Amino acid sequence: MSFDLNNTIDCIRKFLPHQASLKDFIHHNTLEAFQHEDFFSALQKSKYLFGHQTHLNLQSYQNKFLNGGITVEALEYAINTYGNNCIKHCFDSALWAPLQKPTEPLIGKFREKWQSDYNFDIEHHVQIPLFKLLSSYLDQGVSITTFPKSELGFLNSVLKLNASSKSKLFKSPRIQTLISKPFNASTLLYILLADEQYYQTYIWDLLFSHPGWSGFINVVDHNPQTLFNTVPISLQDVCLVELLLEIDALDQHFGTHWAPLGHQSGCSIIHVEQFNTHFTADVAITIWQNALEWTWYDQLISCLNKTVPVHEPTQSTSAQLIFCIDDRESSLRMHIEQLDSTCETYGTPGFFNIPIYFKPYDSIHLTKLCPAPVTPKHLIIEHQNPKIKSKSFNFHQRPFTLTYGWLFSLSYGFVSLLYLIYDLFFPHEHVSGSIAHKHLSETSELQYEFKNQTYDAKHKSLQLGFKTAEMFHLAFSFLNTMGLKHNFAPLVYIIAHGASSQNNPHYAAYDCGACSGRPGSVNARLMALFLNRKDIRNALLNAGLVISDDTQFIAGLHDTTRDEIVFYDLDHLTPETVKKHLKIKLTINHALQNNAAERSRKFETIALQASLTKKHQHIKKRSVSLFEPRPELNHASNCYCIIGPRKFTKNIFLDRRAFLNSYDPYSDTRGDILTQILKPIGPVCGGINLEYYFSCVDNNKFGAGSKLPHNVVGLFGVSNGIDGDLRTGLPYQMIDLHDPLRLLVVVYQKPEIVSDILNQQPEIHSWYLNQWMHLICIDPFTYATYKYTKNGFVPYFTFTSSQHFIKSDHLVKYNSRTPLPISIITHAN
Amino acid sequence: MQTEILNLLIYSVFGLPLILFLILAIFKNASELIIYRISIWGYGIQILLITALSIYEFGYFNANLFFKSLTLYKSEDYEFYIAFFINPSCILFLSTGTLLSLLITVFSKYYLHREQGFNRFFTHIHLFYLGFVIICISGNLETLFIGWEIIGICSFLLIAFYRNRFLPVHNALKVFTIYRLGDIGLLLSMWGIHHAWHSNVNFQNIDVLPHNIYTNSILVQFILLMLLLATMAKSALYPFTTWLPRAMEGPTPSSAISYGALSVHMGIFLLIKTYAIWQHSVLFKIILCAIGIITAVVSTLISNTQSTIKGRIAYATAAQVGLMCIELSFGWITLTIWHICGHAFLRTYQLLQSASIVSLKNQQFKFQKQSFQIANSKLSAFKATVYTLCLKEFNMDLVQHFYFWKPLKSIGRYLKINTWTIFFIRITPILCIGFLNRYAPVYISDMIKDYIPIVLGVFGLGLILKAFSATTNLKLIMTLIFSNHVFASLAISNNEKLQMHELLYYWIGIVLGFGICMYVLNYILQTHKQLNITRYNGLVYFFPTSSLFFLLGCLMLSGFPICTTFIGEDLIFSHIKPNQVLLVLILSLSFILDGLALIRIYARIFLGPVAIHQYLNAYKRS
Repeated sequence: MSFDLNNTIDCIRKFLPHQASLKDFIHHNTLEAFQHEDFFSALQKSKYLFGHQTHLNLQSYQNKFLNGGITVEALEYAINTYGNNCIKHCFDSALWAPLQKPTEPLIGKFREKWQSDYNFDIEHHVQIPLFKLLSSYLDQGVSITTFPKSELGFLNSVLKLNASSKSKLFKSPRIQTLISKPFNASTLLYILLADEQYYQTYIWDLLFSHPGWSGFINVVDHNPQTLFNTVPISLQDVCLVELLLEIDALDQHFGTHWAPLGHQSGCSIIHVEQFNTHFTADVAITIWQNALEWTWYDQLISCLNKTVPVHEPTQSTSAQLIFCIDDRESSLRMHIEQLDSTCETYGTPGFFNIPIYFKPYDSIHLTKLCPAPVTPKHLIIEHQNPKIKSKSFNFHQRPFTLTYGWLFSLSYGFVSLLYLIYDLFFPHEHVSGSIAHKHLSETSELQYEFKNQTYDAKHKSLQLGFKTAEMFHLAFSFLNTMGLKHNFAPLVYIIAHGASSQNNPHYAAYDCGACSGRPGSVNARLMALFLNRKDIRNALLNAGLVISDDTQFIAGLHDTTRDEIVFYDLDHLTPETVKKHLKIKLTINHALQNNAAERSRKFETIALQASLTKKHQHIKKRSVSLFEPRPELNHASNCYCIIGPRKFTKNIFLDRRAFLNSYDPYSDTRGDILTQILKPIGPVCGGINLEYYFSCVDNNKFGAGSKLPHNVVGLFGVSNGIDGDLRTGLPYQMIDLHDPLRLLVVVYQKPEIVSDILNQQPEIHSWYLNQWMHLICIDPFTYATYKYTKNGFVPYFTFTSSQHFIKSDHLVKYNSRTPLPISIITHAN
Repeated sequence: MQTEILNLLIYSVFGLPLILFLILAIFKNASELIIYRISIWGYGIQILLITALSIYEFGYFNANLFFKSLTLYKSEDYEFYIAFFINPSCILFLSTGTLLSLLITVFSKYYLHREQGFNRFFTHIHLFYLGFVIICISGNLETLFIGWEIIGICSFLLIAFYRNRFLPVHNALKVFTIYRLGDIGLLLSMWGIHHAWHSNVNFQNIDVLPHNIYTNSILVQFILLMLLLATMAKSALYPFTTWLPRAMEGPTPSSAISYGALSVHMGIFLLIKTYAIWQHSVLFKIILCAIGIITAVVSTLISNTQSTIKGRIAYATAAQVGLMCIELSFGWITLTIWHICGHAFLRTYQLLQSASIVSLKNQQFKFQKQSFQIANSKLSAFKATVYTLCLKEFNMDLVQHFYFWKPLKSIGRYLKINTWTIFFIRITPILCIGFLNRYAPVYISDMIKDYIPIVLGVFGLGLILKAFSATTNLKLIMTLIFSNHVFASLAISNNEKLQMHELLYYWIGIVLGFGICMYVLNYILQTHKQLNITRYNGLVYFFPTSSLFFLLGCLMLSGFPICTTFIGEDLIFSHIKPNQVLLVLILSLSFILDGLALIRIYARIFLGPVAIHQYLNAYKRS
């Protein structure tokens, strides 16, 4: 058998972190590579192969149990569901075992021999120049003098630079002769190892000695659009350059005569089969994790079982508000409904069924606005009224090296002191901030009608705008999925969401997950434009959707950090609608304030007793503060996803934990709509949830560690210090208030229908079958609850004995910062 | 009356940060809010004090202000005292630093919220500020040296703030190494000054020193060289520039204040304070100017190729420091001090908002222009060469590694002192010769006699080199370091008559430090028998208190100004005659390595990734 670098790298690829550039921060399951396996076996596997900490440690579970974070009932339930014929005390020794000593991971052992047998820190000598080469090569705009890239890829660019430079990148004469003629990986590996059986192992170890960079290059290789200035690069090239640098470093250190690593004794070899073997799940971890999860799940289910569905209001609805399913919108929806019972709210994925590329007026690049797996075929162009020119001038991002540095130190330096004081004591909006509403200006126009034009993007041709028939289809299925088919209120709002933050390289992680990490304002505005069109309405009428002429659709954007909403295209409204709109706007603003108050409970820097307006002011300040590493808490503490009519959840206080997707089970007798809804739940909500889970249990390896020492690399990544590997995953500041729980999906539909869907759609099924998410099904007619297990749906009976209640007027007053239980809202009267 | 108020004022300016530091160091478990309030009040009062001081300074005296405080040691020809000296440039720099510390405190209150080590961060920042204040208001080099050392150790601790990761600890050690060179530069220039003017030089009488010795005195050239070394190391001038970007490992505010604003200007400030010493030396000015130009040009070039934002700012900072050297070499003191202040503000603000660059640049949607393409021309070959050199940071690290550290380490490895028996066999004869010659000086000809101190010194150096590179038998390594001090003091006492109390000054800290270190080591080895210091062990995770004590022990043992060894070191040096440059170099080298070996052992045992529990660690290179 001969060694093939491409094959080896293809085996490795899927195990590398899959994080794209910072601007496209898309949540995904961190352990995507193991997703086809059972959740708990995958945890064990990742632990033994890569040395990750994949769950809380036993002690944390035990402490949680002692503090009441895991209830006795839930633990019993978890034990009972685990072993059907085992008695409880069998598990006692396992559950209460002391902290285990970790085992050495499989990856990296071989490589450690450079240190142990040669006393040579090869990584230190190789990776500092390698990372420098890579970051200069891929740089998107930090450096002034850029790398002389060639179209032939990384390796060739490096060799070309080396050839024309008098100061050589590779000092060793051996390397210089080697690179003067064609060479391949085997040549280099032979020098390093001398024994072919180790080649593959060495490449595994090599790429996993800097998982951040390897992963990022893999992403760029597959999806070059993740960088604005596309650059050709492949993992193979990086491997070769790294091997060259390694030989060079060894030659420099030991001279040309050193024994290859393969001659050392006691080397272990990685076999690809090891990555396909099945690992048995750890009993104690399985039980504890399930117990922790069911402590939370059962609270929700018992609330859902106990509440009587709210009957349709007798008076007509004054407004319908359509939000993203995002967990951050769940509380705003509750506050709006509590303030005005004539308002109805709906939830649907935040790209509002319009997958598009978008070209902002001042940009030459396209941004994708739809869930990550979807590839849009349409392009929407923004036209800006030329009078508005954004002030994009920021002194402080200039380099200030020699002469400018001298001039500015002596003059502007002192002004920057004043700036600093101003910024610290009076936080205000900066040019450099990422502000949600800047994504789409209120005054700009969208070119969305198809006029026989196409746009040639780099590799594909995109249709410019939508045809009427396409608009109709999108609009119809948009309304149909939510179950909003009749009784349209005079005002229907379509409200996207985005986030604002300052001094935050991870800003894209805070925006809408269904829009590939960007605000969904364009999509919302387009859908409103579609639905306000006469021809579309007529077409909808023919399809059976009656929308009266009085009904107006209004698009908006909810800034989840600042709790503000902007509305688009208001000048098209009739005066009466404007009046109605102003009334609703008042309610919305009030609700936003209440929402800010609910959120502020978790921020220790905001006093619990402060007034509502004060809290809202504080919340707004966070979004523009230079010094605030937590502008908002994002998806922290998410753990539920409820698919069903809002009437079942309206009276439940969810503590911002739930993704809420509107769905009408009564009209969907075949489950076609439910299939459409369930498809993105895994990749979007499951992805968010699992990324939070893994970043939370091992913030050092899965997560990005603390945000405070982060350094921006080439605009596409962050590292610690200037020599560090790229950090992937979520920083500590995003997960420190999160409980690592998997997502519980609650579906209001008959179990038979859901079973059918799961059987027909294996990609949906695998999420639940392998327990990466839990599934509960509630029959919308009988309210009987079923739990999905490997053997299909089985009836589920709640075990929580005590029910929590919260008074509706307490929804804005809180006196604790700890997580609140899921409770039923009771009204004062 | 007025002077009394003034003295009180100066004492408070110096005492307040000390109290602030002590409060936080003692009340380790105080809540974030309390820590913040204490700090903010501290800096608030400090600003008032400094305002008062500057009113006095500019309103009443309008000139330099000097007063002598505590005398720590006195003999007929040597006096070690604390002195304060204030002039307008001191006030200016002091105000800049205080203002920035205040603002950084406000910034960090939110920025470090819920971070592990909130208290540790503020404690280090206050200690750093204390060192800064001492340097600003110091009246002689001895006082300045105290601040200098404090800043050195604080930098180490702040860079290694994330102490369970590999790179911060590694880079902290690197920076400490360079700083140590600067320390010795300063120490040797103090030694030279003491001998050159035979009086206690301070910043008040420095102006009226007799200048006649400038003519061809090797000693003065040596002093200037050492001052320059201190400046180059501390201010990241060429060829030491590489430490500056690598110091950016701590939380952003600490990087901003230390390496953007205060620490990096300390060398320049030293030159301002000692202006009177070098102002007449044309050669020094030319060298300073040349180094300034090289630093400015090289750093600018490197800065332009940096693809990380902090790296870019760090090298841009170094370029400005280079310009400051040029300004100084022309004697433009006032310009330099204003340049320092403005630059400090600019860089602090830039670093604090460095992360904004992602959202700013991504909003602008611009294609990055290719700066050059490689073609077959002379010009493009030149550009490629410069670019490659910039990527490799002009091989500064490589040169230091290959021509300085690697030889030292190989010598250490070559010396075979691996077991206790060999150790005792090797040192006993030399020790006997030393003691015999000192206390029973018979039968030895004068010619040989002169070389005995050098032999002893070299032997001590050998021991410390072994300790510097050894990786097994921790207790033996500590003993090697300890015995190096025996040899050093023996060498000196063979050189000149040493008073018993001088030795006492020297030995108190050594013995105390050694005792503490050995005790802690014993304690640790009980539970961790297989402690292997070829790698980092990260034991601070399990033994935070032991770690603190071990660090204190190491600091005492290496003559850090927390005990009398610091004065003793000075005293010992004062007994080396001005013509014994070889001896002084040997001894100072062994002092450098002594500190380095100790900090290295501390870092290997207590810092870095937790060796026995890899779930607690990040990836090694992250």
